[in-house]
Amino acid sequence: MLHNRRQWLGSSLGGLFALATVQQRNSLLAEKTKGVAKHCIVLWMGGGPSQLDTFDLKPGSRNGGEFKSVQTASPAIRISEHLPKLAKQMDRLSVIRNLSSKEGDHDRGAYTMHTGYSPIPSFPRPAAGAVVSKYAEESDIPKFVTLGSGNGFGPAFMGPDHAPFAIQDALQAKSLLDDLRRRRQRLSLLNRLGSTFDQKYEDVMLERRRGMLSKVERIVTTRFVEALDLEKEPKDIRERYGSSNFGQNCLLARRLIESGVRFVEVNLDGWDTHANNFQSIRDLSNQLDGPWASLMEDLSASGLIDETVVVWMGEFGRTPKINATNGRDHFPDVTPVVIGGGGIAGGRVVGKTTASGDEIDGDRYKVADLFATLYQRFGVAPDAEFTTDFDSPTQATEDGKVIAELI
Amino acid sequence: MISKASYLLFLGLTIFSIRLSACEETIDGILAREYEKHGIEPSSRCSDAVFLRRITLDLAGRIPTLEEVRDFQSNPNRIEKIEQLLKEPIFASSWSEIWSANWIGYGENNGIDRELFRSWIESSLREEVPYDKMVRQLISANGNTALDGNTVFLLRHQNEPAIQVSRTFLGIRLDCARCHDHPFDHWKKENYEQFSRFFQGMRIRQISDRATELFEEVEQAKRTPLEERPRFLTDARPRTPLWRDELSLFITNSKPFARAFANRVWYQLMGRGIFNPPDDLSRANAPISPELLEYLSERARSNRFDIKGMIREICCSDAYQRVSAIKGSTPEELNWFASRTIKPMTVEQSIDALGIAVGQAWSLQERQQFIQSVVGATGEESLSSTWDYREAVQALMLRLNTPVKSPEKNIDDLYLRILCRMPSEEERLICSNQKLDDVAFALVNSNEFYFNH
Repeated sequence: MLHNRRQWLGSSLGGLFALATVQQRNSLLAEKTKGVAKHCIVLWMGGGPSQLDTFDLKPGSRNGGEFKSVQTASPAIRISEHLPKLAKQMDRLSVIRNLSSKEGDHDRGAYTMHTGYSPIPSFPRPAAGAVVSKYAEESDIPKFVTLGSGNGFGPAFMGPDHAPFAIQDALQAKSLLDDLRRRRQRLSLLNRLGSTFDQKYEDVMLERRRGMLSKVERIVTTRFVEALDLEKEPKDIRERYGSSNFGQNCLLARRLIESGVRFVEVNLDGWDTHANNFQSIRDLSNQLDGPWASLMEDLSASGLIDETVVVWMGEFGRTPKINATNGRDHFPDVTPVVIGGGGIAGGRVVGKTTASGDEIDGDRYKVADLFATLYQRFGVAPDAEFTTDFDSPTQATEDGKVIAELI
Repeated sequence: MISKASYLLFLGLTIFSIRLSACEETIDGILAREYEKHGIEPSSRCSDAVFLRRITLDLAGRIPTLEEVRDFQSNPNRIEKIEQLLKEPIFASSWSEIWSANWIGYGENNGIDRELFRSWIESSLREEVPYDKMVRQLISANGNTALDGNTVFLLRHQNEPAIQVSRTFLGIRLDCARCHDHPFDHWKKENYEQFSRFFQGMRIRQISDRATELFEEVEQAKRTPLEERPRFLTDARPRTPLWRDELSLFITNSKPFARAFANRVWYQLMGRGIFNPPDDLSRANAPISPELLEYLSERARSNRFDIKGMIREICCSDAYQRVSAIKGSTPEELNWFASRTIKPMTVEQSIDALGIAVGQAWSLQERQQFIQSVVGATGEESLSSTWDYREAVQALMLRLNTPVKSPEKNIDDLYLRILCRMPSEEERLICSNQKLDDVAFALVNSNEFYFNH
């Protein structure tokens, strides 16, 4: 698209003037697309979700399977009949149908879709949450939180301050924090008794740990602790998100974002549908539909959607061909992503697959392009230079280009 | 009756032997020359109480018990203490955790059995197997990965054995050379490729539900002509088809191997390497004292890679026994080991030290759970391969939430038990109107407790 625009300018105006205009345009584009997002919610579909039974249906084709597609709030998008509530929100979300990954193994795929890079054990990369955390302003509350059975992708060279705060059980986490708050006078005693040693010796580690201790002291009185308490939410809203773990975690994600958390990952596992694909995805879609739609509604109502990127993805897509056990296998060639909010255009479809869904038809994007698009929303350029623990420079993304259709 | 001649001869021999010992290098001798050259004033030796805590943490992986503190007060013989700790079984178990973390991290990737590996290291240490022999067994390992502990290293690093072997055992990073010629070093992409070929015959196959087998496929190696065989960094090529066996000899006979070993043990004990990070000796990362590094690696070779021998020599030095850097120390003093670097406890040390401090014996399961939670919260597998303070806020909260009750009835005993020293007047005053449980909580979570100083 960008390329076309340049061609047009080149042919119609020509000369120096054209060059100036292109530059002006580019700087305008840059101005307009400078990071505006403050938060990100990733809905992680553990196992690798099937594109053909969710957001890229091929009803009637040999690979089409059992589901019908339905019209959504966006005239451009048709999605699965089993996501009826979400269909009403699709004007705020865009579907990427031409993203291709190289990794078809669960661990490698999960790593790639969390970091934007294929795994190299001796060169660990930070998860997107750690990058967003690093670039957000200092805060007393955890900036990067995972809910449920997170995969625990680490901060690597972003440092331990940007490690995910993992919450398996919100009630338990809250009571842990409340316990600490109740015993805060113990912490201040620790402060008083510890100061002699800390003042006597010279070492940055002593200061860092002291800083961490006072951070804990501060966390326990922040809105973060309140946000963990779902009982505080009106009953009808709780019910709207449903009683499933995923539903309650979506609600929790919303509350955490409202309290100032920057990046939340919520898990919904079970998408590894090698067998019995359609029954499983019907169930999973039911679990997904209500909570996700509620999340979109609430974020839109509060206006937070303008600064919150919502991403739906998993390790990879699934094979168009339906196997002998009525399942679909791993298919990184087409890895489905749904994304919106935080200044990312909604209601659009990026790229397409062939009529049978066997392959991408036309241009394709790579995983690094998705990360370039995401990071850019947070004011991190795709080629921003990071420094590893060994002082060697590396780029935020592997030659990622911002997906122009989404801006 | 001694004749004049024999007396003179005796005197001559004495003088000669004194001269000989003056020529004999020591860690402190080398460092003293460096201090003179660079105008550095080294700090003094630490107190007996600090020494006891430091050496017990380093060699036994926990703080001393109240009884040990009192014993050492009445007989503060440091050399004797070092010898005694090196003989205890806890030395082997504590250092098996150190080497495990260094070699394979904390994850259970690729279906490895971490405990199997740790116990293999522990029994090697208990039997005083020399370091070079241990490493040969790791690099040339074949066997059942559920039974033979030495197979775990390669099983863990099966995706990039060459990178990990050269980094861990030679202190040479071929990482960059994997994709391009190293920008500042002499390692070329070709070096990496030739070195990687040593692992070409390495195979892993499933032999039962839970076990795999690591073995060497030699048929292809047999047919490979000499000039197409792998090449070690010294240009040596294997003469037999057992390439990994030959590699293990090339490596353990090389000078970088001895340097990497000496520096790793030094780093472990001193908190700072002669070169840093300790697995990267390169042109861009020169040792601060080449003389000290050469001396220690020569000692390693002449003592046939005796691990305890290396530890003993370092712990007996003044350099090890200096006080930690007080406020106002310069980075240069720390770089030159003129003051001791402060180290955070490893996760294993911290749980065992806490056990002593609050008088609680953890079950194996509790201990394991604690370690996994702390490591998990950090989101990193290689937590303790460096002495950086890398604790995530969630891990710290976990520690702060561990229930603490005072095991002692008065402030003095509590201080002695937890911090191995008596409280100051000021501290007594602060504690006088506090609950003992609260004081115990404050002390076990203080920096003074958490760091090895």
